[in-house]
Amino acid sequence: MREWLSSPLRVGSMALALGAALGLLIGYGVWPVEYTDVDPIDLSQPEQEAYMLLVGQAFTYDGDLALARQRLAALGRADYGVDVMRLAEEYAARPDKIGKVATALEALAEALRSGSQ
Amino acid sequence: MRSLQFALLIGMVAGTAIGLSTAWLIFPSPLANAEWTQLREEHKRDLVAMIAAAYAVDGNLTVAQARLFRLGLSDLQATLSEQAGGDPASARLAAALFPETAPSPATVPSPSSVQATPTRSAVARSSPTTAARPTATPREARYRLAEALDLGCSADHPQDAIAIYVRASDGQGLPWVAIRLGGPRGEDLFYTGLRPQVDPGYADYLVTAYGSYEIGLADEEQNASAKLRFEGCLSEDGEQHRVWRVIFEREP
Repeated sequence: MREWLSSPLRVGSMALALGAALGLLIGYGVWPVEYTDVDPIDLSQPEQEAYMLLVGQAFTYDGDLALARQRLAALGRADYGVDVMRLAEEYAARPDKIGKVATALEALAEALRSGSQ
Repeated sequence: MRSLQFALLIGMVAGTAIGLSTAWLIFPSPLANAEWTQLREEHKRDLVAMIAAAYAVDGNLTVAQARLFRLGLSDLQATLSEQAGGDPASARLAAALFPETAPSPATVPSPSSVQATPTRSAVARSSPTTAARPTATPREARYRLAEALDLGCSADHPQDAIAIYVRASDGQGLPWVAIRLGGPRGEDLFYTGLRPQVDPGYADYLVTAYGSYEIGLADEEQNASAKLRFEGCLSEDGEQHRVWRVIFEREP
């Protein structure tokens, strides 16, 4: 072993491997890349649902279906009408405070389905 | 021995550099589970507008604050003030969050100028110093309570509500007039003009608690106010709702 470690090339290679492992650990685990300036499509599922909920409430306020469509399209979902309806059903099933939210989402889902404002 | 130490040092430094380059540049971890704070500025602004619209609908300031907090805006007041110029809902939210900079009716431009160009930004952007409530002057407009009428219960009314109109003496609706409302759930401040499709001088309050309400203009110099008792509808199907209509009129 001592003899094996007496070669600078071997020691250098071993240090290189250890250093690379350390670099990967730091780069992926300790200080991973942090993204900024992302689009709604990159949001996590809960954040996307919170976004959809706001789109529904904003639609209740302004009745602007084109704007609601544009906002939902930013989430990059193929059939956002279905997602909105599913979310509305989830909120409607909750016995707490957010019945109005469910109503807003249902209204948006209905408008998306009928395609009218 | 020295060459061994040198090889160890070089190997570690080079290996760490390779590992970091791989993790940060060559194969960075895929973007997933981003949060609102990471959104692009334009999306954050759109979310602010949506949060303001949601606040205009549900009137829940706590929820609005929590949502705004999630955006991680560096200067919330500046962002809201900036957006308040073209968005009445943002203006209302800004007024609720930063009442010291809220415009008073006396600082509101004339209805004609509001309708021609959205000049509200100038009001909302005012610093606390410059937005101090002006003292009354002999030229300040006076308002009177023209009507406080219980329109009764009807299935045509979608919700229990108090509909408020502020008009000039010629009947023209006046937007951007601050309304103060006191009721069972406490005080609330809001503005006319948020539903221009109804009337430029229209504002409504969705009643969620029955009891006594007092509605007046937020400007302390104005003493016109309506006191009413809001009672629920006793309909068998529960589909009827009551609406009160309150009209304030600016004196000529």
